[in-house]
Amino acid sequence: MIRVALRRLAQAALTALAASLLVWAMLPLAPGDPAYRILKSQAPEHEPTPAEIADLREDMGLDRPFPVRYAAWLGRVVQGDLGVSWRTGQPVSDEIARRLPATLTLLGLALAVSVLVALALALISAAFRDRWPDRLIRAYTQVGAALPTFLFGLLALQYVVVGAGVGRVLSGGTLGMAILPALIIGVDRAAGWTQLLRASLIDAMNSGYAQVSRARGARSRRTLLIHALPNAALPFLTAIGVSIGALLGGSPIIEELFTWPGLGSYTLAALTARDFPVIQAFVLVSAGLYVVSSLLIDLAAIAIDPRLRAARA
Amino acid sequence: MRHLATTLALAALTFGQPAPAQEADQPIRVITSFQIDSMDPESEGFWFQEFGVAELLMEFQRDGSVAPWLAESLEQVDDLTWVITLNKGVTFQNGRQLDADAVKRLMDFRLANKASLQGVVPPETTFDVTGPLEITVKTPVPLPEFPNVLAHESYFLIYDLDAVEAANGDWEALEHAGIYTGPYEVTDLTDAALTATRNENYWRGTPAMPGVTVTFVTDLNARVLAIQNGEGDIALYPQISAKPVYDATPNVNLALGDLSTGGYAAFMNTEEGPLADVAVRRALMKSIDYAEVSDAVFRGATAEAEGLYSTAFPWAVANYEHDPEEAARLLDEAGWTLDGDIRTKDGAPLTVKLVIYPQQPDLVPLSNALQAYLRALGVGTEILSVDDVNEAITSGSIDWDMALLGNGSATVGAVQGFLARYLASDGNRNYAGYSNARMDDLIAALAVEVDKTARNEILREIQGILVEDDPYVFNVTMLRPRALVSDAWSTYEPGVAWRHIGWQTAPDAVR
Repeated sequence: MIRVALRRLAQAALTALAASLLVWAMLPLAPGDPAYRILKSQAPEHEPTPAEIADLREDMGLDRPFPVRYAAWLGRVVQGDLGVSWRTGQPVSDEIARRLPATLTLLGLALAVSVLVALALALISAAFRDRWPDRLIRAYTQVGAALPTFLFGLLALQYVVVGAGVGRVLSGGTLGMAILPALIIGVDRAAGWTQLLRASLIDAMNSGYAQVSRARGARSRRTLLIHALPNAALPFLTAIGVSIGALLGGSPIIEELFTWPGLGSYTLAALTARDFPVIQAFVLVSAGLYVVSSLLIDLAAIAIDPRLRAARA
Repeated sequence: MRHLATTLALAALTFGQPAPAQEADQPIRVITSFQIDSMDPESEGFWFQEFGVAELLMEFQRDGSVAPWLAESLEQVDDLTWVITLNKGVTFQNGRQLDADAVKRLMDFRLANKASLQGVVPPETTFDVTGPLEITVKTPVPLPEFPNVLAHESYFLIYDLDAVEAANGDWEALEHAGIYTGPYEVTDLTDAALTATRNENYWRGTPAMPGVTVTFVTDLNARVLAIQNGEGDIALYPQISAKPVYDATPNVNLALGDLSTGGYAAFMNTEEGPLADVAVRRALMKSIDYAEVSDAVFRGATAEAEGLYSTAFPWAVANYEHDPEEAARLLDEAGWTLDGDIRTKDGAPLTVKLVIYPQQPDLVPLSNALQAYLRALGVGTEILSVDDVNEAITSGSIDWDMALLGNGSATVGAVQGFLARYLASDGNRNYAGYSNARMDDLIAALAVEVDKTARNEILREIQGILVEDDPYVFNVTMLRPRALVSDAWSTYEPGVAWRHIGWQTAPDAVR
């Protein structure tokens, strides 16, 4: 287990490195000069002169070759320095540290909701295959997979908050106000996972060991929970691991809609301003979160699947 | 947008609940899309003027004039000399008196340190204290628009320079420091909101409301829903083309003002492409039905563009004309013949690349309307959305023929800045390399012309050139000051010169 963890951590570092290199290489391809945009954001009334733009580009190091800039940035990151935001002039690590807990809280709640919803619905769907509960759940998964999360969010704000008077539109950042956006993200994300887990459960229920279990007199629900679920859980866990990055990547729009004080609007503003240090830091955080969650998923898989434990041994 | 309209309209029919009336002991709750990053008065100070915290020496008025505010009077002694006399008894919120020394020091500091101000007021300008409440201003050249400069939030915003210097860059220390003179004093500024409370010693009298909270919400849908749900009183920067949605939504009202100092303007590429031909530019202007744009596209939430300036200004000329037949004749004469749906000349189709940007979602229906007018004229249109329109068209990174921008041609009643930056040959925002010798002469003359009659004549000639002789920029529709308000605030009048909150701003129930 420890060896797996160490190997995973090494992979984590490589993944983060590759992601940062990719983003560093691609950011300059985006249209727009960061120096121009920074100057405009600082003085909207003033049109920067070419000399002012050139001076700032030099200060920002944008006149140096890409490998030199990347190496310098990497050297600072290794020492824990994520640089200074070009837009706000504040240390990026401080700004991210201030906002990250709110984002992690929201994503943690959303993850818990989506796992529980997917698990419950997939089990019900598999247990009542081709009967009305299954059909109803399949309809939900179709709609959920097709509709974008922000539209779910908008409908929830309109009908739940404004219509039914539950909660507030302006969140204020309190924990209780994270419940609705977490439910939105969770229920939306759960749609795809429910489809996946349902299919795995049905496959497992058609397998030889499930048939033997039923032939020996076990009830279908016992077979589903004791025999089929652990086998079907592996692809489900893998899907969760893969989706963590997407969860974080999609959170800015939901955070904006629900006025949740996480990384959302900060990251979107950085993208518009071409604030490279902030964008890079967001990529690092995303990569780190993805790798850590993948590691936890791997360890969970080993814990629940005896075949994997035997293989490691 | 259609999804949002349907959603909101359905909700309006099914779940709408009347919101409670505003109480006298509640602060004004404003929701805006822009975050105030810090208490730094140099980079962020202009926001505080908008929300009743900071003030200016002069104020732009709803009738288009400029009147004294912190100044009791502004007198022009001769072409190069102005005398500012301050009102007696004005104090900063921290209790310090606003006197001539404090204002002189601040004006010297701002002029020396603010590059954008130096483009408006020559750096050689001097400010001398000539009385306890009197400052004499001497300029190296005539500055006929000096009163407007004093009314612009980005230039001579008044604050306590001593207190700011004492903070030494610790901007949080300026919360509760009372560095401004306005009716509301900042007590807290976070990433999410600004909180200000009533300045009990305000020099004009007791402010109408106990305070102001300004919440930063970038998502437009969230701002609308917050008003609908009674969580805010005034939401800024609404999308105008969504007026039918607002009309159908309970507790949401689109409040509109009358005077506009700007509009959605079209800039044409006079250097290259089909619009380099002046006949094409004149034809395009005549093809547009300006009244229909404001009445049908924006349902009366914008005003018909009749010229470059709002008709409230005495120099405005109403010289825009919708004449599709004349437009077609101009193109025929210029050799652009109709061949099928699209006109051609020497085998090349007449197609216009029209640039818009997503920060102004109203440009989408507007660009679609333009596309329809041009289509009827036999001109094709390609619409291109870029994330920074100024940068895209000035850097030469895209091919463009026409760009739509939200723009003010007479911000706070001043015309020189727009003309010098956008239309003069050496203007730093002359997008298309527009160069007209007569226009350059007129702009240079206007910069130092003090006589109002002569100024108006110059401005009328400029407007004539831009329609008849050498079109380059025109307003497609004129914007009106606007905000979304709750029912309790339905009589709220959106402020001019971005002044959303004043000392007497209050809902009907409190007045």
